[in-house]
Amino acid sequence: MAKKTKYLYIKKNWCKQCMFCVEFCPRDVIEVGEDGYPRIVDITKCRECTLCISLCPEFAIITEPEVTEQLEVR
Amino acid sequence: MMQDIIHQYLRPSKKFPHVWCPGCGDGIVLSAIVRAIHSLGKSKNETVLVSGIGCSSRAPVYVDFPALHGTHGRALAFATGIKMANPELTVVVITGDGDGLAIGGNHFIHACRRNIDITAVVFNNSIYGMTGGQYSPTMKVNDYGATAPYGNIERPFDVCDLASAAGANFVARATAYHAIMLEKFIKMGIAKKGLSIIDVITPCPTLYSFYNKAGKNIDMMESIRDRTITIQKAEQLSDAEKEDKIVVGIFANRDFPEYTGIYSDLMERAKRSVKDEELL
Repeated sequence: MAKKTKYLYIKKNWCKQCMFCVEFCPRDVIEVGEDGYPRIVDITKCRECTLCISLCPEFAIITEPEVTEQLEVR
Repeated sequence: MMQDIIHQYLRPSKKFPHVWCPGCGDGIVLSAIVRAIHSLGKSKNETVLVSGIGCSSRAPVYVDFPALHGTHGRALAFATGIKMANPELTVVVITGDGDGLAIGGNHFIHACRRNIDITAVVFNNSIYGMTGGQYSPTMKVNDYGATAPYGNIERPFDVCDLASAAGANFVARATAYHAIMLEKFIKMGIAKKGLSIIDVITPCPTLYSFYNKAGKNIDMMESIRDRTITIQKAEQLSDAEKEDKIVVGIFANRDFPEYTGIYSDLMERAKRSVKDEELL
């Protein structure tokens, strides 16, 4: 079975820039972007430990493209 | 993925982002509660979230479970009523330290004493966030608040000791930083018959931090992480060394009889004695 491609999306209009995801990511997949919001640097480094999702107080990190589509209208 | 299951439970009518401040731990705890309920296979129709008043008690507003947003401090009292009326339901109480332990202090100890099958998650940030930073019953001695400008002189409640002494079946403490451990404890608490109290240390980077110069949200989270020790480690330390530490783990896990069970037995007994009298 083909391995599922890794997907991580940060919904900026829900994000309040607490930066927990940037600070606590053990593999530095996420960094602070130029606009002050978190940005994914290198998704291939991600080991899917899901710590960023567990620690996001805003529910702003999404791991399914379909969910992103559903939520983008809100 | 399982970890972001909360998106399926968000209330469609609600505007997001939510009302909590940037860096507040309440969102982390709410998503842990939702993951715990989801992984136990409980449907939306058999779970009720009950809350009182306060920052933490806004939580049930955002997720699409049947919810009761009650009056200040009475979350456990309302939850007791719901559970007695329909013992089939899974009742999860979301309460804060001020809501659950100051205004609702009596309800808290009596719910523990009755040991009714409810799971209560106490969002413990040592301060009243919604009303402007008054000190709460879990604030440490010498911490500052709006009503303690020269430092707090009252000793704090230890939520876990209080709940174990009052007779709750399952008592545990976790922190917002240890979200995965927290999820595990909430899951164990919901699965356990009898009252489960889960004390969650959450950061308040707005008001607690303002009065105590505790730094920005990441500083507060790191301070929680660095101060956390396990029960096993705490046993080796003296009281003075433990003073500033957050002790996490399971404090009580026992099987005292559960209240709704005893109550239905009583009903059976009462019915039988009425029948016996009729036969005479």
